[in-house]
Amino acid sequence: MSLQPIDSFSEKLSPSVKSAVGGASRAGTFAREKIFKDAYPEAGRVEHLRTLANEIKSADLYENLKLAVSSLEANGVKVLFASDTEDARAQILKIIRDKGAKNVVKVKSMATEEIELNHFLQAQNIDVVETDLGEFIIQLDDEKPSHIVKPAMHRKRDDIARTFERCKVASYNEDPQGITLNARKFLRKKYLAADVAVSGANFVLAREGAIVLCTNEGNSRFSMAGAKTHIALVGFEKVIPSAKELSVYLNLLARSATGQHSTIYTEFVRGAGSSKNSPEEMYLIFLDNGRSSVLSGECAEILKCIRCGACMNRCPVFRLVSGHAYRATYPGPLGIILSPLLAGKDFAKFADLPKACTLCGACADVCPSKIPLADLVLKMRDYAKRSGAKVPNDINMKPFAFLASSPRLWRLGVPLNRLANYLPLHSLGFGPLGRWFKSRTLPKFNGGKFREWFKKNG
Amino acid sequence: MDKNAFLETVKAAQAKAKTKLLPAFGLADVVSNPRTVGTPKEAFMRNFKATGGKVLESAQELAKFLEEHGCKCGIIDEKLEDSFGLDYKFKILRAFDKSSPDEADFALSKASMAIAEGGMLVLKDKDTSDRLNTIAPWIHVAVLDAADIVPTLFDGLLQTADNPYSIYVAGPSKTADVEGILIEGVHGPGVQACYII
Amino acid sequence: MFTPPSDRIKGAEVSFMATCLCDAVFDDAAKCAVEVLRKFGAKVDFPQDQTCCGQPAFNSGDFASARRVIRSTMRAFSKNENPIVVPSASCAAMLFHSAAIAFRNESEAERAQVERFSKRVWEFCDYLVNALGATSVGGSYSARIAVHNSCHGRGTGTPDALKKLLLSIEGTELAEFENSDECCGFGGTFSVVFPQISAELGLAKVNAIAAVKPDVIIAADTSCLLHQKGIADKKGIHYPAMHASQFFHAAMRNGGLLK
Repeated sequence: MSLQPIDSFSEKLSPSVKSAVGGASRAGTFAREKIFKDAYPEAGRVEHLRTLANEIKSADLYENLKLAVSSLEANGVKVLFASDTEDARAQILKIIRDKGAKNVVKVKSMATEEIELNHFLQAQNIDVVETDLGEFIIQLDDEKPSHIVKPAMHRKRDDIARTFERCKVASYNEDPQGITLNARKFLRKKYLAADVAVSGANFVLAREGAIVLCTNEGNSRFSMAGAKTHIALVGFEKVIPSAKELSVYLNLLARSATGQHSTIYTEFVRGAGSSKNSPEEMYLIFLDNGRSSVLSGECAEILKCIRCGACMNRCPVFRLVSGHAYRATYPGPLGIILSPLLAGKDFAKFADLPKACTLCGACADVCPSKIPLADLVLKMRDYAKRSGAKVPNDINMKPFAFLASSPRLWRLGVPLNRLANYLPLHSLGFGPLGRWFKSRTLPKFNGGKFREWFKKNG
Repeated sequence: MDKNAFLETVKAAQAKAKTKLLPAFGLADVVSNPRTVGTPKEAFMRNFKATGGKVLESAQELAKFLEEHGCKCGIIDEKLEDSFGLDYKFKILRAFDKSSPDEADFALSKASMAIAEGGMLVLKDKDTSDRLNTIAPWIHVAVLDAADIVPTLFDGLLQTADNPYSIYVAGPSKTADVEGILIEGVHGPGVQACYII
Repeated sequence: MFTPPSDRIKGAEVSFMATCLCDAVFDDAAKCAVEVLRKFGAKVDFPQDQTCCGQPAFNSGDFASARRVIRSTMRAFSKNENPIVVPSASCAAMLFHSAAIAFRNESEAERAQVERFSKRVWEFCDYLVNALGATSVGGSYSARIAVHNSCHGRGTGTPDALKKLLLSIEGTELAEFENSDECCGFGGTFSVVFPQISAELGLAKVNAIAAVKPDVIIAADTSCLLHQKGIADKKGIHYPAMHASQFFHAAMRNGGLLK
């Protein structure tokens, strides 16, 4: 019985990874609910904040982007623009080369994952090290992040300790605090030797000409205290009007993502620093890479995402398959909408993603930007169908639609299903029924019996 | 891609979308009432301590705190004029030495202001002579004037973009990347204190 | 997520939509729903040209087929402007929320027609409590009940209405179980397009419910129960499930209110 790629991935996933992912996701969901109750016990407060978050991002993005560019430039930030992956990589490489830089430290950024920056730079003989602990761990194993906020949620302490040992970061120590201190020791040297710090941004403030970075570990702060040049790669949809609007998002982001009232560090960067040991130059590269195409389409609302990860924490499918099952930068409810769209001409390769969803709608209930995720998933399925992309195990609905729009045929045909009661259907090994019977029974067919009853009891 | 081409692409893409006016909202829409109970100083102390922050209210307390943590040597950021008597008890450096980055056990620097609702210290470049002082040592003590505590995040945000760099610090550095277990002390300070004067 | 329009049509003269699932399999749930509705004073007709709400095609992304089916359904119910009562939260949500998405690129006239239609559609429990104003089912049925709230009831009046009506029956007690707000994994065609994940989610749901040893498991959707009971039966787990309409009917029979 052939399975969908994501279904098959789940079947093969090790029980320990499954339980790590399921447990961490559940804990995240629970923590989110608790912290919102603590912060806003009054009924309707959180829903109101989410409505504001949604409405703010419906404002004129083009005007805000224009304003952001001029404000950033007025602050001395060198603003650049990258249309796609190749363009972004080339521009980042050029800056690094122009500075004669050899050592790059990275602050966690999903935009840089999109363009697979690390591999690209390493192929150019530039040393790039991820500084967020989770990203650092998976970089050592050449893995991709399995969650947009908790990149190593699929990993356990013993395999992390083995990785550290193998990569000569530290001798074997699987105590979580020991692992953390070993990473601290190792990375301090990297920060102090870094030439360039590459980051993303959580928000861009158009009026103030600033980027906002929300982190917990201190790696962002340290990266920028070590390096002389700071490069930020940011999707253009991250622009919001000003610090006033930021108050809405800062009250939603960490609470949705990790169940904290706020991340430990919130940085406002408006260009080169004015203290000792701060960047002397700042570059901000606005990234398109398919976003303008999304903006012009029917799923534009997905651009309101603030990358909190609450949707994937809550998703019953994500919890059972883990982020790697989605084969794309963005997994979970966010990813089954965004990843195929960002794939552009490679859309067909990801056409199965929107199907990996039970349409339970729980994701939309936790989305801080109130994105109607389940509705967007359905639009994606429509789009996939119309594009002609082939998806395994897809069921042809035309015969059913024909029957269900022909009332007389329907009335004649439905009672015939009682004949199936005499057939050994459960021994079917293929097709939709075969897949049903693998794990379930079916009750008796009673086609048309209700209609018969109603005729006598109308 | 050049600026104009990029901006034109975004403009064209947005043409089909129905943009809306910004919604009106104010402090009352975003403030967390439980987190702002009490005076700003009380609320700040409560919220800052809740994430592991330590509050010190006298020079003696400060010295004792550092002694209890086994400190021998520390940095006092140049933007702080006072050494609070610490030079009698500890070896004091006035600058971070990159060649011996672990020499200092602690560092003192100025907090530009604080936000009560968030339990956040605000460190600005204009009040910090060297960023490494605030990040590298295991213990960081921010010296805060109680008059500089603003009640809400909403207020604080409006006062943040007045210099090239501001950072809100809501406690010691943390991670939960290893099996979701919370660990304090990652790349930033493992002990974050605030000396309120 | 699946919030119904705020200005739906009320009234005691209704048209009943049986759902394709009840038409094909769960005739008793449909019958009980009609009898309960009548007992509450509703006048119920059954437009016989009805077939299906179009969900299977819609969820598969075949919006053209979905529109075809919905058009036929709207035609079937066009003899009057009655509220349409349906014993399924998912079919109701399909018609009052999702149909608009299937028709979003159609003519203005047709979109208006779909919008008018959406204002007629009520899930069965939601209709009883919020349209008819029912506060009590009456009767009795001594049982510890596990209530499975289907995902398409999220954001609708159904969960509260169902709970209210169940608790109004003498002898009932609601049993709490773990992770009750989580999806059981049916998801319509998802159940056969992603059978592995669907079965794993379903088994987790069945185990969570069976662990509290309820006397009966009730839902406002036969679809979720089809999946859960199918899994339970295959594993040999005792799983006495019924639709809310069947439980109300039984309670009313016990109380002599119905035969």
